Amino acid sequence: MFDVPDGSSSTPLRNVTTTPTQSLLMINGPWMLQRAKTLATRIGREATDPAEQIRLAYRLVFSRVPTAEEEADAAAYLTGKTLTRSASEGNGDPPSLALRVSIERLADLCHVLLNSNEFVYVD
Amino acid sequence: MSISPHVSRRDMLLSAGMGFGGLALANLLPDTLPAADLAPGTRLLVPGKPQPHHAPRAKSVIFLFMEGGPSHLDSFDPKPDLGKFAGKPLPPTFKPVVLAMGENDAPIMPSKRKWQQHGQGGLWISDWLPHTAQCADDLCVIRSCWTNGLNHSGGVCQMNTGTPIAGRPSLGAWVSYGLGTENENLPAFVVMEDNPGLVVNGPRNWSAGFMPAGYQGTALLPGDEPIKFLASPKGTTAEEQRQKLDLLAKINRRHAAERDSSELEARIASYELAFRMQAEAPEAVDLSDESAETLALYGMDKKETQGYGRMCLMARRLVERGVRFIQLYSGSGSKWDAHSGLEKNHGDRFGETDQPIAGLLKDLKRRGLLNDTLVIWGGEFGRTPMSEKGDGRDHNPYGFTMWVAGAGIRGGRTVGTTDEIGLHAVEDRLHVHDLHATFLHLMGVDHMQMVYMNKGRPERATLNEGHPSEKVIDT
Repeated sequence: MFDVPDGSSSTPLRNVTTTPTQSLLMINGPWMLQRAKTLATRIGREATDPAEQIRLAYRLVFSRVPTAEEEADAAAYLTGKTLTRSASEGNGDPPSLALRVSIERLADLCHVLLNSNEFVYVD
Repeated sequence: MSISPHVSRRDMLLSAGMGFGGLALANLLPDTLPAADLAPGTRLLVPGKPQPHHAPRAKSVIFLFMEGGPSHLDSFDPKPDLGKFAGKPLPPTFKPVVLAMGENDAPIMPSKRKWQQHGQGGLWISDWLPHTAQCADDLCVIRSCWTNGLNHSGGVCQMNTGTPIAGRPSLGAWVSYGLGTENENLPAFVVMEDNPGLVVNGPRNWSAGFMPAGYQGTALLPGDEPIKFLASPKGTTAEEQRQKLDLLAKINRRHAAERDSSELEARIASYELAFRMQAEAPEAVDLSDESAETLALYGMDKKETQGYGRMCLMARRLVERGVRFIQLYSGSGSKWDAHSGLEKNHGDRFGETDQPIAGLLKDLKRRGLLNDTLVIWGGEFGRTPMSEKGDGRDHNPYGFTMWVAGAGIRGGRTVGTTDEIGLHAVEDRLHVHDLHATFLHLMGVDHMQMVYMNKGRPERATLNEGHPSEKVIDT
């Protein structure tokens, strides 16, 4: 799927492809999901506050802190708000960060981060 | 402007203030070259708004690639005169050639096949192809093909990209670029191998070269599950999956905005296509609604023909759903490469492919799809009239056979000839560039007008060469 070279001959340069079948593996395959769950379990153990969890996730995956915008997106995702209803639209309550999110939702967020180009590609 | 850590010094100079730098940046973008720089009448195809240059005869292509080099001398190009020279080295009256394996004094080997004329047109087809022979009147057999690639890597690369040297986009990528897809939920360019991962050169045979990565082919797997992981993870609803991908797209777009890379864009697009494929592809690749009669037509009830039969049947289903370019490798990993033991090797390969290919032609025809579909058969080259290792044949890029069917092409006839021993193409010689120009013409594309601007240079699928063959196109 990711063009693993034939081990019986020398491969000076590995092929690089970008295909939807790879995306399917990354977003639906069990291996990436398991990695996301493991990461979420660690984050859940080391941080309890969702805002803290998001920052920890970004630090662990991208080695940086999230921007305010990124943090808001992630928080909205964790609390199940749709992305189109961003906090700036008001609409009453901004996503409550105090709300303790389920480990499944946190794993989904980790899964998204592990699928992102920032994680997959080295600049 | 804000200073982002991802902007290189060059990018900084280019975009600062959007002055001269900004203008230069605009010119680096592929589709912004003023039309005045190109020959009069040249129409750049606009990505995203693809349109043919003239009325297309074919909407889709199925390229049946016999990888390793099938022998034309034992299939579609009979040479009774080989008997005259049997056991002797190449007579001096024939221009000597460079041989891949260098067995220069090897004796000439006549074909052991039994030949018969088939169909109204009386096409000569050997007894290795009893099923294809039933479709003789649909085939236009091109006996005068030639190429430059003497070895497999160069030959397969050239048959796909026009040149033996790696790095250019493949024909399928050009067609995806020029014509786009007719089905937003499936890839435009699909590749299958009977031995997955073994094709010589690997995925660069279907790469997009210097074009954006999104035009490259997508490899599907043979067997029961051609596309893995089509289902969302257990317990994930479609809505949850959508939310996940929306967040991912948002993160990726923000990331891509600070960088300039078609890879990043392609990867964003590939997630979107993956999501749409989840809806459509399971049905497209599910053969359970095919009748037993259809399965048998493709030889899926027999062990030897099951593999390629499944690929051919899958190709028909993809054509029905608007996939633009489908390539099916037989013998991937140079399994047609009969340097020795031609009888056994080719007997097996034709045995695996003859019925599936004939089944495909018959099935396309009865469903009214053949008229809109161009079917191409061939390898990267043919084989020599001289023997190798006693009972094999060496590579022959100097003259070999391919056939085309469908796309309204008049069948039951041949185009071009090789010399009396089948070594060199002589009449109506068609180089790979001519073949590609012909295929593109049938797709509604003028090979000289389909241009991709690469770093300021107008690039064409046929490297500015080649002509569509009037004789092949002739209805």
